[in-house]
Amino acid sequence: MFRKGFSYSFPIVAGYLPVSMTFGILAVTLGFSKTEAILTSALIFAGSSQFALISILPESFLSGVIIPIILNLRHLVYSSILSQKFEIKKASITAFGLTDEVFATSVNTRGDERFIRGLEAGSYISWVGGTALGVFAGSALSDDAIASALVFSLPALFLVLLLPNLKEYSTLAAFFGGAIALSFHFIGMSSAGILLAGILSPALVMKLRRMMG
Amino acid sequence: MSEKLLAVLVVAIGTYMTRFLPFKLKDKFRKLSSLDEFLTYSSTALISALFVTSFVSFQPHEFAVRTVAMVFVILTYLRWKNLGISVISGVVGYFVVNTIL
Repeated sequence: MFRKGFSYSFPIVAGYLPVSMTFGILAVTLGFSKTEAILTSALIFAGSSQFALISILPESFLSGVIIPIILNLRHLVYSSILSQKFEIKKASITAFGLTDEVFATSVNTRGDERFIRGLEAGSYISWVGGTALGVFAGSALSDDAIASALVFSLPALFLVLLLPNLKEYSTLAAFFGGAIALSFHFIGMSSAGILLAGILSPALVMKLRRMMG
Repeated sequence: MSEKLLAVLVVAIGTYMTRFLPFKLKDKFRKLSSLDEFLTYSSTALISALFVTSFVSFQPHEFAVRTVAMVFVILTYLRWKNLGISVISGVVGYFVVNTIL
């Protein structure tokens, strides 16, 4: 199952490499040492919050620490769902690598905790490796056209994971979730939108379902 | 310890806690009725939200390229129902469309 999870991480790896390379380049440009940049990816392993950290920290230590953690509050919902769906025995290890993409792939694939860890391992290696590549050889390796094409693998992955779920009332949950996320995306609060989508959408669908008998 | 390293450590611990705590508190959540139904809808809503936020771009050219590339993803999904094939076709489709447009 670990191997299966590792092989299923391929689409995630394709999307992570250009983003993590960009992170490595940017972190060094913003004054992080090479070691600090790689350690950031190795210890945090959460894309959007890492970018927030390195960009806000030069202005304010407090904001630079609090905002990335707020951005990651949506992980509370991910872990809640996985803890109900899978029997997780080594939560202290499995929890570490639970990114957006690992969560979305896990809930849509028949697997177990070892499958999740395989997914996490592939994703983690590419994230930290990509950061190191960006730090040491970023400008020589970066090609905008290829990088933006690879980044497209992430929305493609999410769509392919979403399509099989569009049945009965889950379609309504997808609609509400997408609408809430889109509203917040427009005002630059994507992470808050994702968190609220995961909380409000099911509540709305359950309410509608009860009303319709 | 530098300020940067301290910030990285605090964010790393905070992030890890958001991922770890629900696993530790799961037994308390299990007692809640309707939780399974809630979480089923929640996971679908979250994946939809992740798709929307990663797909929607405010640059018209980029949005057009992504929309056309997504057609490749949908068509290959309908034909083969294979995650890897669909993602690869989307990436290749994006590259080709972006080069042409």
